Amino acid sequence: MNFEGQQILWVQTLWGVLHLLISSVVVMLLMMISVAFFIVIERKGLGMVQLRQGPNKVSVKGILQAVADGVKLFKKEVSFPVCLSHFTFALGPVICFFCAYSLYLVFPNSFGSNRFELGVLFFLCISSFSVYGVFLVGWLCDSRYAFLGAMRAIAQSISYEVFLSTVLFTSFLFVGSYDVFQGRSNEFFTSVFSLGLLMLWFIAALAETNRAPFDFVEGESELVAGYMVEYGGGGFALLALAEYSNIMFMSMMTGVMFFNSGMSSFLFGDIIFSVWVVFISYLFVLVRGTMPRYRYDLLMDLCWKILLPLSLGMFVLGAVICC
Amino acid sequence: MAALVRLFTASRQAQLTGVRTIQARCQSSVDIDREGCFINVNPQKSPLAAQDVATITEHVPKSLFIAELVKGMSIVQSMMFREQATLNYPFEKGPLSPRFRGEHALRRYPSGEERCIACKLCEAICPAQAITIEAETRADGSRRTTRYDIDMTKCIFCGFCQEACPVDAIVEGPNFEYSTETHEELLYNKEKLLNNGDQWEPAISANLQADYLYR
Repeated sequence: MNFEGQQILWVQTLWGVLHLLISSVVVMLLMMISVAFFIVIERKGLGMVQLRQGPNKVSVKGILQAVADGVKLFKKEVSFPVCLSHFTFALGPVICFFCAYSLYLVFPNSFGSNRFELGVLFFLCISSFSVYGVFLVGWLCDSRYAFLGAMRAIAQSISYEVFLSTVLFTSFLFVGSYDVFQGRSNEFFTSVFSLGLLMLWFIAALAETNRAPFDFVEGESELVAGYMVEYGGGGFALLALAEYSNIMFMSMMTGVMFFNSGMSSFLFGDIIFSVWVVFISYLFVLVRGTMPRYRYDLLMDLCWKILLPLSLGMFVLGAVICC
Repeated sequence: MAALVRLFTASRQAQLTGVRTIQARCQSSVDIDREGCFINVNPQKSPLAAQDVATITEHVPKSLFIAELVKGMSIVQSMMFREQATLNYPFEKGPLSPRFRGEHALRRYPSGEERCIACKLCEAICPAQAITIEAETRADGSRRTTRYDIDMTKCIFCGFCQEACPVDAIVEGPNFEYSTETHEELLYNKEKLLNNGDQWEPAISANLQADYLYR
C-alpha cells in the first residue's frame, strides 16, 4: 500500500472512531435526558394512581421537575464520612453510573455506527459488573443498614441474572445472533411462545432492576433507604440516574426482544421502537403502583425453584422449535 | 373375583385397625404418643397430584394469578383517569363552613365606632385564659377597652368568646393562614384585632348572616 492509501485509511479510521464516539455520547446524553423525564413520569403516574396531584409546579404541569430536582441535588452540600478519602467515597456512585450508561453502547438506533456483534453478551457482562458498584456503595456507606441493603441487592441481582440470561438467550435463539440490531427486526413476537417468555422476561427485569414488587433493597420498614443511605446530593443523583437508566435499558431490551420494529424503515422504525420502550417503562410504573412488596425468601424460592426451571424448559423448547 | 373380595376385606380390616390404633394413641396421656394422631378432616387437594389433565390445566392458570394481576393493574390504571382527591393547595382551597372558627377579629359598627363594650365576658369564659382586657370610661361616658390582647398560642379556638359576646364584637373569622415565624407575632393586641376586623368584615358579616338563625 502506498503512502496516500495509508493516509486515506488513517483518515477513515479516525473518522470511524470519531463517529463512534460522537454517536455514543449523543445517545448517552439523550438517554440521560429521557431518564430524567422517566423519573417525572413515575412521580406523576404514581401520584395520579394514588389520586394525588404529583409534581405540578415546575413549568407546565411539572414537566421540568426533573431539571429542578437535578439542580437541587447537585447544588447540595456533599458530606463525606470522617475516616474515608473523598475519592474512594465518590468512586461507588461513579462506577454505578458508568456501568449503567455504558450499556447504551449497544443502543440499536439507525443513526449510530456502533454495531456490536456480541451486544447481548456485552449487556450481560456489564450488568454483572454493575453488582460491584452496588457492593462498593453499600460497603463505603459504613452503615449496617446500607450493607444489608447492598447484600440483598447483590443476592437478588445475582440470582435473577441466571434466570434473566436464560430468558435472554431463549429469545435470541430465534434471532440467531447476539447482535441487538438484528434482534430489533425479529419475527419472534408473533408466536404464543413469545408471550409466555415476555412475562418471564418482565419478571426478570423487575427483579434485576430491584423494582417493586421486588424492591427489597429499599424496604423502608427494615432498611432506611437501601444501599445508598449515606449518599446525598450529587452521589445520590448519580445512583438514582443509574437505577432509572437500568430500567430504561431493560425496557429497551424488551422492545428489542419482543416487538418488531425493523431497521429497514429508518426513522419510522426508530419511532415505533421508542414508543415500545416508553410503553414498557410505563408498565414498570404501573406495576409499582399496583403490587405490594413480596417476601424475601419467597423471592429466592420463586427464582430458583419456579422461574429458573421454567425458563430452562422454555430454552429447551425454544431450541427444539428453532431446529 | 374371589381374590378381589379377599383383597378388599383385608384392606378394610387394615384400615379399621389403623383407626383403632390412632384412637388408642390419642387417648394416652403421654405427649410423645400423641404425635401423629391427628386426623386431617379437610386434606388439601394437590391438583398436580391428580391424574386428570383437565384439573391440572385448570389449576395452573389459577395459581399464576394472571387474571387477578390483570384486574388489579386495570383498576390502578382506571384510577389515573379519576378525579384527584387532593387540592392544589395555595391555588385551590376547600370549602369552609360559615361556622368555621379561624383567626380572631374585633368588629366595628358601620359608623366606625368599635363594638366592644369591655364587658369582659369573653375574658371570663375563655377556657385557656388567652384573653386579657383592661377598660376605662371615655370622656363621653362610654365604656371602652384600652387593652385587648389575645395570645393566639394559648387559644384553643373553641369559639366561646364569640358565643359570649353580647354585641358580636369579638368573632372568629374565616382566615386560617396567619402562620408566623416568631412567637411574639402571635400575641395579638387590640390594634391587630381591629385591623383583622376591618380586613375581613365582608366575609365575617356574610358568615354571621348565613348563620343567624342558629344563634
